[in-house]
Amino acid sequence: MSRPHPLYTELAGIVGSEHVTDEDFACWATVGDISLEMPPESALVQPPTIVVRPQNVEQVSRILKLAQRTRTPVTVAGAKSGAGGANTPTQGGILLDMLDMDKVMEIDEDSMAVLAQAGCTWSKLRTALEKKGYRTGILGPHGCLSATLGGGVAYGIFGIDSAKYGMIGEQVASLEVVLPNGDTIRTGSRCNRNTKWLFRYINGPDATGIFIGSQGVFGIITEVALKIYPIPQYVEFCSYWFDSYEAGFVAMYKIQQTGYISDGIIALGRNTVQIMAHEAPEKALSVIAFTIESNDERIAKAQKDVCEGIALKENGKDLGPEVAKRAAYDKIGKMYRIEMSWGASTAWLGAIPTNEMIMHLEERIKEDIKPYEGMLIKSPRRPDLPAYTYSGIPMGQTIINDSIILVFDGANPLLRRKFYDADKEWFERSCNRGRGLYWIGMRCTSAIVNSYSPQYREFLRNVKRAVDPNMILNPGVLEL
Amino acid sequence: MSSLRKYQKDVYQCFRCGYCRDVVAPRTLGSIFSPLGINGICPVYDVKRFDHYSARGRLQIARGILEEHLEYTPSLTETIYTCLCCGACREICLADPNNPGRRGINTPAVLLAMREDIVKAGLAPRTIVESASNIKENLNPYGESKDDRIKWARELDIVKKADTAFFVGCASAYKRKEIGRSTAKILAKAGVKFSVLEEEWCCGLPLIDMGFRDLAQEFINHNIEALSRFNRVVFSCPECYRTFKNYYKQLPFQVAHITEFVSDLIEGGDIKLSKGVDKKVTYHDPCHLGRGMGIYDAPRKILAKIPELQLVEMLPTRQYAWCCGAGGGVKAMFPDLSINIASRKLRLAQETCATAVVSACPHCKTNLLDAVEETRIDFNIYDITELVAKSMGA
Repeated sequence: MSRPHPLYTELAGIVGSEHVTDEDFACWATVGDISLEMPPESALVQPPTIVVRPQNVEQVSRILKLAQRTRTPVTVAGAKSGAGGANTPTQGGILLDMLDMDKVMEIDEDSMAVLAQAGCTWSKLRTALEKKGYRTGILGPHGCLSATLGGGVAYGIFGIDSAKYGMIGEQVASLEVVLPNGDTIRTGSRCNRNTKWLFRYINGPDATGIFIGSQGVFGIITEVALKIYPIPQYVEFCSYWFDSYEAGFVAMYKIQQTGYISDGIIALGRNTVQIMAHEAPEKALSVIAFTIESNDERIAKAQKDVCEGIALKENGKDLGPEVAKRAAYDKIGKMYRIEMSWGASTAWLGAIPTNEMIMHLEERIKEDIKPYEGMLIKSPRRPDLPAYTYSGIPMGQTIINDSIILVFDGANPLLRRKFYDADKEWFERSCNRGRGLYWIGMRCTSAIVNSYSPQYREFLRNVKRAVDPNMILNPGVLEL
Repeated sequence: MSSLRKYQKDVYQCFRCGYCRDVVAPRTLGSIFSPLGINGICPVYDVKRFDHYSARGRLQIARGILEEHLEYTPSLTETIYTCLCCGACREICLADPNNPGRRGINTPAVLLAMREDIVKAGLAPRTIVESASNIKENLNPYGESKDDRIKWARELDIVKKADTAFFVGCASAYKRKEIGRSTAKILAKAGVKFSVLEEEWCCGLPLIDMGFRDLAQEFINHNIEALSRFNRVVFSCPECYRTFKNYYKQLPFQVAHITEFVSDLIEGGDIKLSKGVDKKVTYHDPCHLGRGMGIYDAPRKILAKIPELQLVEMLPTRQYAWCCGAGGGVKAMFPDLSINIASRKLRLAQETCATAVVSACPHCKTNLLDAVEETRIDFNIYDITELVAKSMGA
């Protein structure tokens, strides 16, 4: 960096010089998330020019006011472990790194909710709650204990135990948000200045909702209140294999509809089955694994019996509890990470009703994978197969997250370019098929926005203009 | 080819999950994800809190160097020398280019490769260059006279001719003489005839840490030559031990760390730990002994055999143990950072309600003692050899 950033002195005056840096390598080190949305492949994003770590909401407010005054773009980042390409700026500027705002403020047993700062990681939150015998509904995104609450809400994630508890938005009780003009608001019950308890649907319009999944374009989330529950005492781990995709899918669909399962996964195709369930026989084309939790052993067993009956009716064969235990692995989504650990990966994800996912599944898998077969690395476990996985994870009782992960040699710049371009094409195709996307950073902004009706697009633009007329906060995301 | 280019695959293996920055230890170690007072497994990031101090950020920087978005400026170069090379990030990392399901990306190796490139390009910080010159001249990193290397041993009964050599290492020879003496007493009491070499040089690890790989090789070659007449070499310093095992090719003698050696002697009934040591202690896993060499059980077995000694584990521990802050050359180049980390480590020890930390590394003992002095926390710091020698009545 040849000279100090023009805002360095003022920002240092707000947060302290130890919490701000304008070194080029320090800015570069923040670039990227788990997607390929970073230079040189991506021309949509560029490193920030200065990184700031606010320590409290007042500092966030002052920084935004400064940014407004100087028309400096601001991008917000938590753990930077998302898959949407949302934490790398589109126009340089200030990167607000929220990880120092990581406190668990209060476990409110009257409201049955926990209040934490947005930069609090899921691992920190879960530790604090477990000491008191509680848990949140969803336990964080799959595979990322390092992810933050604020990032999760801004992305509108689904996660571990979404089958039972839905998307993160369904678990949010209240938010504290700093608006682009520096004003701080609290939503839900706390919009009443005299209220400390935590509840969402009260006191007027549900302003909480506009910030969920907004990728930070309408405001910076600084506190999140999530519902909490007693930790279930009884867990049943169940897994079954099927000799066809359809049978496994029908079983998963019906089991999901019971509403009994906390979490689940369906592995499709020999590649994925081999990774998730090596004990399944060669003819297993699909495997389902799920957990059932309850505070009453009788209920857990009864629910398991119902789900088992469904699986067996579709000619499923019992694989025992170990597959589900490995897939759950103490709820840190380790299996997902093992998939990705062979090499660089590009993940195609999208939400779809479960009973639609099975339609033309085999043809779709072949169509989607075929262009890449020569470029994928070999599966370490099955060197005769290319490395990719295809799975579905329930996001509630009727919707499933459809996931294909392709693994390639990330050190090869030609392949990175190819996969980057393929990502874009796939998201367009996905939206045209009617899928719902939730990792809405620069990676799939164009695809999702192109699928909006003109009226919806204009509505979002109007909201953006109202709260951020100078367009300084996360510019470019959602093309607002 | 640059040294960093050889690690290109490791660099691109990172998919930026952030575990190396924000996660302390997986659930398998117990019910605590996140002990009080620390945020993640990287002590440097815990203090500095910017991404470029975490393994994830360092790998992004390495990527930037490879793709020529970045170059080795003085600021960047200095940052590269802040890594402790403790390997904790590798334990928590779930990616592995060569072996799915095993240990993660070797970020310390990537950093050491960058340091080699920095040195070769003549861009190393002045203090680093001066340190390397100092080691070259004095054969130790402390600037002490090479003639005083075995001064600590003058009153002890050490033979000139033996099958076993005790490689003392610079830290025990000059700074932690009590460890050298304790080790010698243990060996003598156990009836092991051993020699200590006047011609011993620094093992070379400080030079490797700084990026002076070629100069380190000169030290390695010398030590091999000097020790070639022995059948067995015992170490009290894990850094020296690990350097010999990892960097010295085709050793003509067996090597063992004193904890392995003593544990085997206890097992075989050759050593009796008969005198009680009435203390409640917690064990700090030195990075080079634990993560570096996989030795976690031997020290614990020894401590369990000492009468009246109560051992409690601190969290995180074993392969996830926090570095004491002395590794990777950080103690010499960034003493304040090193002490800050050691102070945080002491707070983890305090949570066990132990009154002392026991380790098996002279560098760890030194840095923890420095932290005790800085913080005035009431804590004793021992090396395991001291407790063993006491319990043996040596």
